[in-house]
Amino acid sequence: MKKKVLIVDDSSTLRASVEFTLSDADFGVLQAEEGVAALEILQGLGEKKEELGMIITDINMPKMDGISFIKEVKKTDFKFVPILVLTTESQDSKKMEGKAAGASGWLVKPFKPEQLLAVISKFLK
Amino acid sequence: MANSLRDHLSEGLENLISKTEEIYLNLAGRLPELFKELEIGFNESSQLVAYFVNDRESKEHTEGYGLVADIITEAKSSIAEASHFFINMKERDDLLFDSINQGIQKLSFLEETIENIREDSIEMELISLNAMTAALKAGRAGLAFSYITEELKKLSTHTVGFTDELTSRGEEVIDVLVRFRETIKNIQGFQQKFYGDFKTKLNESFETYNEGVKKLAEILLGIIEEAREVKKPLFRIMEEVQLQDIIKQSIQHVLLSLEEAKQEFGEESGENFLDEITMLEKISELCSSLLDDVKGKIENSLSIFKKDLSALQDILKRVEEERGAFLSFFTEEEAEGLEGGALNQMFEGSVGVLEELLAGIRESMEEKKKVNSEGQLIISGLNLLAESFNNFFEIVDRFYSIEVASKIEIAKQEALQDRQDTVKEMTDLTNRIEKDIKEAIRTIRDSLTRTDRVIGKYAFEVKSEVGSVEEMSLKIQESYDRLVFSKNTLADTLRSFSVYNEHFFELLDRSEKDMERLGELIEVINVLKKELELVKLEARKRKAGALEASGLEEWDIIKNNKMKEIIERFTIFTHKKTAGDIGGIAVEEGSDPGELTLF
Repeated sequence: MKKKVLIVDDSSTLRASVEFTLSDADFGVLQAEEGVAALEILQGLGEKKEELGMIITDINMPKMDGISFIKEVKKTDFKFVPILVLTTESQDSKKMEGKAAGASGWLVKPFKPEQLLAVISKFLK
Repeated sequence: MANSLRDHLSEGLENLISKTEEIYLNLAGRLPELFKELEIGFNESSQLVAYFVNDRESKEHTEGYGLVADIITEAKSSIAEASHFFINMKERDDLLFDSINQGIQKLSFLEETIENIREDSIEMELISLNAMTAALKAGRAGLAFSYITEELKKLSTHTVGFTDELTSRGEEVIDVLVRFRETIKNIQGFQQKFYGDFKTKLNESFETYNEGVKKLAEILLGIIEEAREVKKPLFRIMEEVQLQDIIKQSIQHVLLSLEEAKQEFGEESGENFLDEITMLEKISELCSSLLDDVKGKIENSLSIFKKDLSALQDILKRVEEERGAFLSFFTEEEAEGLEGGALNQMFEGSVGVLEELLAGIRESMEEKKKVNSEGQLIISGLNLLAESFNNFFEIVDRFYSIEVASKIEIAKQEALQDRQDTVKEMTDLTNRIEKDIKEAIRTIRDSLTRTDRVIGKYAFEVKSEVGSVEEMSLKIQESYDRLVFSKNTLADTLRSFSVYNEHFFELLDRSEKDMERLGELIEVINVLKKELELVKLEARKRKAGALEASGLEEWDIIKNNKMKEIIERFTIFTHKKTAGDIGGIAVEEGSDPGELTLF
């Protein structure tokens, strides 16, 4: 069974790029434009008792930003799912916010496909 | 900055966002489609190859594959069956050959028997001459005996002549038998050579065809593998597509910077004015610098796209050239250095041997049918010979009659009493001749029975063989037809073989057009930059006027909150840094793009 990864980003090209990289590596990819929509997906997965391997999220998004989304995830059944922040934000203060919210890692955009896959493999081990 | 100018710039920037988004999104959407089409093409091509070469084991997994392998397996099975049949046929032919040989051997004894009869008859002739002399010496008393001896002489002379006739007739039968044996021997030799050779030859030529098809498949799979190389540049293009997110954020940074630029000014003097006009100057500079960054990113993208597209086109061209060279080598009638193309050459061997086999079977059967009619000639020759020997019994009866008459005459005539031994010799010779005749007839009948039985059996078997051979020929013909079908299908498939389908090329063409559109955006940025430059120059001019009026040379912004807010709202570290440098504000350090931090 393919492991699922949820990508949350308001940029459709970024989502497409991540999906392309992950699909080629045989991952199942779920997509959301921002935090609220992503939480709905998580709720759906929870109801169907489906598993999720990992979450990749941006920080600056409309409706619900990445940090708030991470905090919300930590309140759900998916609290142990590793969360990688994929963003253009790169300052330490922002990273610390992410870490405090419960992120497992922080990758500054743009990503290299092999690097992203290596991080995911590390988290999914 | 006048509202209209800012609105105009904002409109241009929004337009830039929407155009870059559209182009990059098009690419992002199309690349997976391109990959999908590639995979479809690769799978179809691989399946096509498998259709010809997979063996039965892999066929279980991929139903309907292995056309050539199947045909060859079936043909080999038909040939193994035919070979088995031909071996049995040869064994039967060997038996016939042995039987005919035995017949010839026995009939050669007949020659000896005839010679014995002939010698006995000559001796009988001599006895008759001696008896005749004795009869003449006896005068009147020997008159009757002289008639008897005269008759004996005539009969003996006739017998000698008859044995000559028998010898010649016997020789004729033997000649026919020898010729018959030669015919059988020739058929045997032909069958042995033909059926012994053809299996090896056919298996070899099948192997050549099969190996050829496998080699062909290997080359095709190699082309498919090489065609996969096209994925690499596509991957790089897809990697670059994510840059749109950064380009969009960069343009948004320009937009939000413009928002902070004061739209209208009151009196063009005083601290407030100098602060605002300096801010406008700095914002124009910042926006221009950010646009430079956007332009650089788009140019870099474009360069990567072009480079990868060119690499991709090179691969497509190389694969197409290889495909073309390969196809012409295998399918063209006049391929370089080959007559009829390599596929035909590979194929001709198998078909040639099959054709030879079919012709050989027909020829062999025609020869066998002749054996039957030749056998009938032998039987009638033997019958005639037996009949001739039967006629001998009449002669023997007459010898016995002469013997009886001689005995009576000798008993009656005193003067002939000394001829008792002559009569005894006559009796002995007649007995020997009778015995030899009986022996000869037995030999002939024996040969006749044997030959009749063997030839009858052979004729029957040949008749039943005809049916089996026809069935066999039909199976071989079917194998031949299927082989021709496989070759034609293979040739058709090769002619239409392509790893990239039409849709792939359409998608690629559309992607190329998008890249061209992206290039056009550089000029749009240049225009926006020029407009920003004018704003900056205008601000500088107005600032210079205010400074001159105030008797100042330089002005540092007193209330620098706007620049701080801008930096705060920027999401890209390099932009924050640029804004900080322009605004003279220290910015918190950040990581480089692609840097990973694990918590």
